[in-house]
Amino acid sequence: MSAPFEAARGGVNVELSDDVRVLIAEMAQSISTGVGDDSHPFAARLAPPITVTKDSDDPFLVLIRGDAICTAAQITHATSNATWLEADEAEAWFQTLQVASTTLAATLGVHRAEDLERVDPDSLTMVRILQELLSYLVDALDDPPELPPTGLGT
Amino acid sequence: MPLDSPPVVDSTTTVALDTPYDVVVWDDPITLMTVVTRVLMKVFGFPKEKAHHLMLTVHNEGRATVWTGELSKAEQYCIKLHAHGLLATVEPSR
Repeated sequence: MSAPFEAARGGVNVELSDDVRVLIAEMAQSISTGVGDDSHPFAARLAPPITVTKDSDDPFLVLIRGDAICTAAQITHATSNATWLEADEAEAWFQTLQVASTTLAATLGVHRAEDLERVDPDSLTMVRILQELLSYLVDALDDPPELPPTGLGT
Repeated sequence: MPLDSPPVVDSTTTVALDTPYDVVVWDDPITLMTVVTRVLMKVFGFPKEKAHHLMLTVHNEGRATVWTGELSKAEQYCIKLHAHGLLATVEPSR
């Protein structure tokens, strides 16, 4: 995969195939649906315990967390066909791709490194694609911002 | 009550409020090291060197305490880490 993300004009240029864009949109949709739905396959990983010494976590905190995950996923879904992302939109992609890769892996039963050997490689393909996208996106987001020209006498 | 009586202090409550809590980040086999570093910088505002060091602790030891302090603040940080796909918990500081 050639670099699909590149820092540009205060945001990030996006160059992805239609298939990958569909994958991202579908993952974002699944995350949005999974937040707050206990029967969804993603539910457990999307809502882990917060304070280990409490019998149950503060519902308000759980709501805020779900809202943050859902908002990022909705922004990602809405911009899945974009060729350029504003900085905030790129951050939403970063958040959603990371949540998607870990959530998907958890549903495949991957909780420790040893579990990776037991999972069907084909099932892991989607997780690997998401990881690769994330790696490129981190590079693009960490790129130093473009400096304006500093010509004299203009 | 005489003026020179010592004030009655509920020491149990005082201790409970003062108990510090740790935000612990746990290793997972999927999250990229660069992602952990970036999330720690973003959520806590850590400089890159500190975030990188904590990431290596998570990677090598399976967990790292990334912040210690008041429970409500610890929980706020923890849900931000969850919202970025990291495995994290809040526990009483050891």
